[in-house]
Amino acid sequence: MNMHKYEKIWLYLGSATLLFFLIVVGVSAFYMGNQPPSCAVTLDPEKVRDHELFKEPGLKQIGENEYQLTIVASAFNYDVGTDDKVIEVPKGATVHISSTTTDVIHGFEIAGTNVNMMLEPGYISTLTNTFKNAGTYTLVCNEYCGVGHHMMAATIEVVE
Amino acid sequence: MAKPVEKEQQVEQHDNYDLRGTLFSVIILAAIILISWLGVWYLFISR
Repeated sequence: MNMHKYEKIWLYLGSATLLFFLIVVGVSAFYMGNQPPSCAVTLDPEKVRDHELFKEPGLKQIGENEYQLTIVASAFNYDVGTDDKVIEVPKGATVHISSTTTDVIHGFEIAGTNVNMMLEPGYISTLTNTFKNAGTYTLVCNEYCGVGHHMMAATIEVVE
Repeated sequence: MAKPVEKEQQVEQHDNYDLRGTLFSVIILAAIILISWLGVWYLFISR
C-alpha cells in the first residue's frame, strides 16, 4: 500500500498504545486479580442485617495493620457502627471495605482517596485500600438516592 | 453511439505531500494525552 512515512509513524504509535493498554488490562485482571468492586457476590437486600458480615457494622482489626470495615448504607445514612459516624483508621493501615445497601442504589466515595464504588441492592461491594496519608476524609454518597442525598455522609479519620 | 472516452486514472503519490504540520499536530496531541494520563496515574498512586 502506498503510504506516507509520517502516516506510518502515527499509525504505529496508535497501534502500540492500544496494544499496551490491552496488555495492562489483561495483566491487571488475570495476573494481579483486580476485579470490579461488586463482583457478583450477592445477598438478600431485605435481610442485610441477618447476614454474617453486616450484623455488626464497623471497623474490626483482623491482622497486624489490617482491618475489616463494614458499612450498611440506607436512605439516607451510613451505619458505620458508631453514633457520631466517625471511624478512626491508623495511618498506613490496609482496610478491606465491605458495604451494601438495604434500599436503593447509593454511592460510596471517600473523597480524596481511591475509594469509590457503587452500592447496589442485593450485591456486596468490596474494595481494599491502604490509607497512606493522615487526615480527615469524608465518606459521601455520589449517586443521587433521594431527598436526603446531600446529608448522607460519614467521616474517616486517618491518624498517625 | 459515441465511444466512451478512455482516460488514464491518476495514481496519487502520497510521498509528495508535505505532512510535517500534520505529524507535528499528531505529536502535540499525543503529548497532551500522555501528560494528562500520567497526571491521573500520579494521583492514583499518591492517594
